[in-house]
Amino acid sequence: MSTLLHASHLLWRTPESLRVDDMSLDIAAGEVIGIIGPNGAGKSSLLKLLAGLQQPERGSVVLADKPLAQHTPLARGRLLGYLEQRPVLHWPFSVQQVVRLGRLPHGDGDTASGIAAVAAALAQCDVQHYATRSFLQLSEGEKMRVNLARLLAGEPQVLLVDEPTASLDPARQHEVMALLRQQARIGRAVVVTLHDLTTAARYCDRLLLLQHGRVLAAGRNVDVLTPALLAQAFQIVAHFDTTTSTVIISDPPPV
Amino acid sequence: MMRVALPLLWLLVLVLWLLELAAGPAMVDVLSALADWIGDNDSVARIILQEVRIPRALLALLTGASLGISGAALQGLMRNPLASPDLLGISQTAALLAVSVLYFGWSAQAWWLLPLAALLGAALAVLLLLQLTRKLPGTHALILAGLALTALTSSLTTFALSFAPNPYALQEAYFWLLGSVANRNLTDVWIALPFMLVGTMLLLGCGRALDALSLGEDTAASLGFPLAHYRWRLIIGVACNVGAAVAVSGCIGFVGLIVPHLLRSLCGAQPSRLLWWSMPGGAALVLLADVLVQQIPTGQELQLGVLTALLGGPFFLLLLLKQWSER
Amino acid sequence: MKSLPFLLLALVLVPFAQAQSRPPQRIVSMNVCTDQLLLLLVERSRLASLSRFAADAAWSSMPAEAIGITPNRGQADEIVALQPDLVLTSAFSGTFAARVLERLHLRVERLGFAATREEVFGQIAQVADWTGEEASARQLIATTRARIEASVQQLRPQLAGKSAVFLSSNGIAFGSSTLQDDFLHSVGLRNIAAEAGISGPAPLSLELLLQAAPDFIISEPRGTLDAQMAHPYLQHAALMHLNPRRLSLPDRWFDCAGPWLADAYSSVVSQLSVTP
Repeated sequence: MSTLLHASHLLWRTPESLRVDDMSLDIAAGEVIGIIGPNGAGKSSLLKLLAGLQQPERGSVVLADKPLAQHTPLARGRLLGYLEQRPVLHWPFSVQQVVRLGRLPHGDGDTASGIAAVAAALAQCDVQHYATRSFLQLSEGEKMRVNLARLLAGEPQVLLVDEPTASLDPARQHEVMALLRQQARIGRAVVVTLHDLTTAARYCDRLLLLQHGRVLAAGRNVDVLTPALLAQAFQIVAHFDTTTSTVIISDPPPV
Repeated sequence: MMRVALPLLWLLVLVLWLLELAAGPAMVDVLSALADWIGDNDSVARIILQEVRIPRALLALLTGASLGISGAALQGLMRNPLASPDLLGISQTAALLAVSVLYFGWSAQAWWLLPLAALLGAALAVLLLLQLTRKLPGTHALILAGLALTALTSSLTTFALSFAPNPYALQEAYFWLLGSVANRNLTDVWIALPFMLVGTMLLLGCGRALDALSLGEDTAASLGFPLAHYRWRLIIGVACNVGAAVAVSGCIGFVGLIVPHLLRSLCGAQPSRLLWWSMPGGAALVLLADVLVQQIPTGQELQLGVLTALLGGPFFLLLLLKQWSER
Repeated sequence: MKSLPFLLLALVLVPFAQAQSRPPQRIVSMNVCTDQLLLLLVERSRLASLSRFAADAAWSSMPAEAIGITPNRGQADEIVALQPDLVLTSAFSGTFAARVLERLHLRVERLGFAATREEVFGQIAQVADWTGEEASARQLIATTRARIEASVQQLRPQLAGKSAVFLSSNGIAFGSSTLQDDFLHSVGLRNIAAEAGISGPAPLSLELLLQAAPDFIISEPRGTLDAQMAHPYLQHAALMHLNPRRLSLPDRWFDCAGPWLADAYSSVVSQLSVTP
């Protein structure tokens, strides 16, 4: 398993707060890494740094053995796929058009190979029968699948996905996570931020627990989702039940 | 359908251009004038065709194309279908600087000072608006800023004209604020053309970036099109086109707003495609308006901007009503 | 001695009559045309104020003479403060201020538009009549008429059968019912603007101008009003092909009635005597 993305000692500050403080991680092909933590822990910020959308004040990100800054934006776009937390679409495109945008880093949206990649992505996300429909008129779940298809159409090595399950119902959440796991199985690296701990526990190979911009813990789900760590990070009384693979939250003790 | 449609649009432009050649107030047989030209015969008909009508028709075409592509680029950049050079005060700021240079005598120093001043005015306006949209995103803020800029620069233009040493300058406020391609020279075409060409090339090169921007700035950056790399190209491209157009024909309104709007549904709302389409679209609109302006029998020839508003306004209203009823 | 009572009556009444018919002593003018006529006809001590254009060489043919006389901006309050016994203005501008002044029972006289030489002389006589200077007016009119007649005699033979047009800024040409039209006809020239159907000052399309191919184009002398946009025609390449003879006459000799009309005629004589 090769390390595709290597981040070390990242530091990023905004005028309001210290967003990312001394974070390091390695991401290898074939695994799904879940980034969890309370609001404001730095999950989205970390993802933006990994995607090269922000420059860290200190530390570096190395993508495919080359520092991120040394890749041209298009080269970076070919290797990394990024899906933001609240995806927008400003113009009334069809589903086909949206997914085709994923080929922009390759610049071959109109060629045979590009068209094939788009078709493949549509099929992988099971949205090929929506191809001519207007994107803006789809349901949340359908939109998310189309957005993922756009991500996959670019055939990136690394997928950086920010809170894809946020506004989806349980069945859709499962679809999305299953799709991401499948992508990892075929050799891609997937980094996904999640707010739901059970989903994270079930679908991710490794977890990264963040708090206040720092990595609180990293490792397998059983190692990270301990009652002590959960209490520290989320201020809840909870534990990870391995048989059902769920995080069970007890009522907080009366004050 | 789309493959065929763009050449058809250019064909429409050609037809309108020829109509424009035949549309002047003097009775001129265009064909015999052409024959005179070829035969190097110095007849009045040939002079009218060569020195009056052809420059006018060329200028109408070029101005229309420039304003069209500028509107498409602005709408793509700001991700707002209401963005346009005249609605946001960009044309008017260009006019203000052009007027200042012209009436206080500086443009006589070099031919490019006038379009350059207009260009700077346009660039300034775009920069101002971009700064504002970063602080206050959303349509309301943009439109209000545009209204404020338009009001400020239009009144400053009239103000400047009333101080100009030339006592007739104030009458020319009409020209600057409403636009016209009447009585233009071939020189005007040569002045505007280089800036328009540069601007258009810059903008066409940003097509993919504008497509990527449809998904928002962050996603566009992740796809390899960070806005920071393209922002200056877009600003300068728009400024060159709008500045050159305004420097030689004043503020022709509505073209940059209506044309991309009308054509959007025809080219799948794809910003890059819209850039290519808005050129013939804009040219067609301005040519049509100019043909009509010469037909209307008023004592004083109407300013072109009046006609583009007459043509564009109702279309726009219909579009708005249609969108409203669809919600 | 039967007429004695009448003589006595007359002796008593004459001073009254003189008091009634004493010419205005504090004259205010709000318009550059009336300014200039006043400067020509009336002594300075009786001129309380002239418009601010009177001393402006772009508008007035007698700017130097106006220096030293209080300028006004045509505002009613200014005028009232000057306590005039006669206010002169144009029939076409300053109408609001004029109405206010009339309501305040000030005497306001309006000068109209002169479209022929006779009307020009008429206006000189009119202002003279208002200000009690009929004698000097008659003299002035006679001199001017003679000068014009002399020029006309010289010009008619040279210009008969030819055509011309007066062009002002913004492509405005002077058609029928204008002083410029009368001027052209008086020297035997055809006015192509009038022939193109234009009445009064109105825009003339460049195309129609080219088609009419006038022999002479008359316009402001170069160097004044030189903004590029103001004279799109005069610098237009198309005119180079036509190459008409260019004559310079300042607009202000025609905008306001006065003896400078004769200067216009003599200027044409001297311009034509210079070999082209």
